[in-house]
Amino acid sequence: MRPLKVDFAPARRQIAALVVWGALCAVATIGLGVGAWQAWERRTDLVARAAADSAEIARLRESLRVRADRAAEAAVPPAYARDALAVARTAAFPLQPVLRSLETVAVEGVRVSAIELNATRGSADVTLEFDDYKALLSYLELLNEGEAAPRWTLVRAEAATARRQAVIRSVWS
Amino acid sequence: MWWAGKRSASRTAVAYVGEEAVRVAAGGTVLAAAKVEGREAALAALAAAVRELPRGTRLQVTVSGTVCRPFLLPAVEGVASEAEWQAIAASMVEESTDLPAESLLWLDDGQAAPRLAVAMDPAWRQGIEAIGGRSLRSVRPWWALAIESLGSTRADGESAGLAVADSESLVLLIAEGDTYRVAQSYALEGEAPAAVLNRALVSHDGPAEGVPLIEFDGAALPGQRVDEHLAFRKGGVA
Repeated sequence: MRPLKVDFAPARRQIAALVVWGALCAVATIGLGVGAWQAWERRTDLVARAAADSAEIARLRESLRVRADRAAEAAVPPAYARDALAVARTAAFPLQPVLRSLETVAVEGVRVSAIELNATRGSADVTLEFDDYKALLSYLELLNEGEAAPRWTLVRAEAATARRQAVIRSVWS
Repeated sequence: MWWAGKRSASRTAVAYVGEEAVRVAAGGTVLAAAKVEGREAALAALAAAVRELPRGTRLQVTVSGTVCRPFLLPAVEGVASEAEWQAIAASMVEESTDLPAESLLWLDDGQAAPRLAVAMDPAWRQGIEAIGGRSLRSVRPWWALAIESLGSTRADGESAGLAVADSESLVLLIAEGDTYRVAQSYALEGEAPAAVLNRALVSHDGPAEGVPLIEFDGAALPGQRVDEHLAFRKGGVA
């Protein structure tokens, strides 16, 4: 016949098991608590160290900025730098177009007596001798022919003496 | 000595308690045997016997067929849960077993229809629990242990029966294969178990080869050996 596992015993309270379980829970709780406390301590230390590092970085940055400002104030461009700049500008000055425009224009009564190139300013000053103003203006007109804006301008004209002289200027930079 | 106490604590005692008899055995020997009348006297005798056991002895209690009575629940359609089966069994316990309506119930889940239930008088369980305390390991009907001592189920599915007569009742069980068809408790009321069994079989279709009868040894005395498979069985130990 089929066995019948009928049993009316009350459910046993596993006292020993409960005690062991409670002890394990207590140990685990204590362990977790100690771990959490140590982690909190480490975090606090790290936060304090990070704050100190930030303050030190800010102090060093300010110090560097002050030094940089002082160095900038004390800085003087060296002489060779200026010379080098002049050489560079001279090399960049369009000498050939200036000379070509002067060679291709010729007006009766107007003669070129001197050419002064100023590379620093990017300009060319040309001293002319002229017989009358009409010829001088005609010369200027021919020089500026084909330019969108007049490149050559009259700087000075003197007719007080027997020699009539004028200075015209063109800017190329 | 402490180690001696520990060694004694590992012992297990087997007790039987019913309306008319109390037995306690340990180590394969009857330690206490008493004839009693009624629950109060039986529980008092059991308590006295248990007090004599070494401290920490585990206690397995078996009870008579008047304390734990089997009955069958009819097939009921639409029952969805175990709680509903418990409610059905509770509604039938008084009529089927003459035990109080608030009796403790155990439902067998080994067969769907009819379902087998066992009821236990709550006053008995309360008294046994108070005596056994934390040492109490089991509270089982003696007739259930008798089934286990009998052996395996018939493999051919034919009807098989068992009658278990304890100190004051006879429990008749008839099964077809694994399915119990009859589970009934009868009060002996001083009659011989065989006579009660013969009368009970009139109203049930018993197996053709008859029903074996396992009887409680009502005359056991302290110091007598007990059957290792079913303590307090008559004729169990030569």
